[in-house]
Amino acid sequence: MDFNLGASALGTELGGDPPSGLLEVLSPAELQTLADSLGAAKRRQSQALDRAIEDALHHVPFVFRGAVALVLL
Amino acid sequence: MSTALETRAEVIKLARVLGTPADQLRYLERASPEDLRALREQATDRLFEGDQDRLHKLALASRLLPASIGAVISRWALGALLSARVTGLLVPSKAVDIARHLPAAFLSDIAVELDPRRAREVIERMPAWQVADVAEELTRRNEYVAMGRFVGFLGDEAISAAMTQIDDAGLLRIAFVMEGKDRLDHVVSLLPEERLAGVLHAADQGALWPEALDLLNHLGDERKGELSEIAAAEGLLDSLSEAANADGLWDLVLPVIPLMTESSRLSLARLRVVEDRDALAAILDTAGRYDLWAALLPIVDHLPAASRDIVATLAAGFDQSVLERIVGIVRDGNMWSILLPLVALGPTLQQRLVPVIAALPATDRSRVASTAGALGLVGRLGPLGSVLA
Repeated sequence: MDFNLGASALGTELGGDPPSGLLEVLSPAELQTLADSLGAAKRRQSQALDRAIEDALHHVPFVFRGAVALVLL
Repeated sequence: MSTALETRAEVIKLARVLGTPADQLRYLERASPEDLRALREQATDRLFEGDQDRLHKLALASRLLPASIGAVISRWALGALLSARVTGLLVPSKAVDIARHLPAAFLSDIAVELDPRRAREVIERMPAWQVADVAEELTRRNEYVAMGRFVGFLGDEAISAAMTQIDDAGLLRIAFVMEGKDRLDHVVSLLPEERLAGVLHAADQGALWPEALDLLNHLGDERKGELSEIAAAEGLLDSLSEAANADGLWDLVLPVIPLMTESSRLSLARLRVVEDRDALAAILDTAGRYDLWAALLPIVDHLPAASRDIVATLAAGFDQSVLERIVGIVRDGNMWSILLPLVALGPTLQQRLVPVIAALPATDRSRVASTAGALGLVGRLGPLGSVLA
């Protein structure tokens, strides 16, 4: 694997340059694995948020529901 | 500080952020702890900044609702992960009000996912009783990494309350992964004295000496001395030293020696580990690498005869620069009465020291000669005798 690909994937997931020392000691495949792990964690969080916003409204008492929906949706 | 221990702690903490078993991140143990910490903070920021707009909307919506309803939504709709993401975006007083309506088990779920840096004010305002309840639950779940991240943000009352709920082994595990270890000395000062012995026994019984030595390494000199005295009084030095030897942690042990009382230092010279040639070689190697000779030399005098023979043989193989350093420390500390009996044991060491001693000023050589005379060693220093005359 191209070294730059692993480093670039990790940089993309982090939204900035990874610590330079890390690039010196990890192989391209290891950098890619790290990037994949972070990407998976972000996806899990986003999916959970989608579900939660849908669920939240069901728990809001009727009198508040309109105002809360206005803010959330 | 042992870099390997720092790295191990950082890998454990990063695994928690990524939701990955620490075993799957073993490849990161080649990285420096500083780089891993920076990576963890970047990853945490990225996760908390993702979906920020929607999280802000959730926080805004919570302002419209009573705290009791906010708690219901937090628990049954958002779940722990998203509640943790939202916590830092809430008005702190509102967050604490909502928390009052939540059970310790769910607050513990949130604590595991929370980045304390983003909820500092909320954490500071949490009542001590509730912090203690959460600590009890997190201890039950072995969530030491989560607890270690909070210590730096809690007040003394909350920390003291939490520590009453955490067992001795748990305290060691938390201290190992704690953020802001410069605060450890103060945190340990909040522990009742009887628990310090308990913590050391937990290290002995739970194979947690690396964690205990890491803790020791982050304490001030006074408390280092206090803990090492307790270890000596509790008969734990054999166990401690064997663990230090097995894990290559002599660099954490040797600096503590000068802080011990004379009798405890002498007990070090009678440990099982100093009868082992490889262990002695490791100790001397560590003393050389970290320049810890001043700590070590006073003990040499009290080693068993067989161990002293080994030390003399090993010292004969030191680089010239190391021998010069040792002689310099002996001269500055006037420790000739410790070094000369050791030198008398080894003809090779005597030969190696000839140029080093010969290079000393006449006044120092005269002092060496008079010490040798007082100890009755003049005729037992081989070729060294000629440069003392």
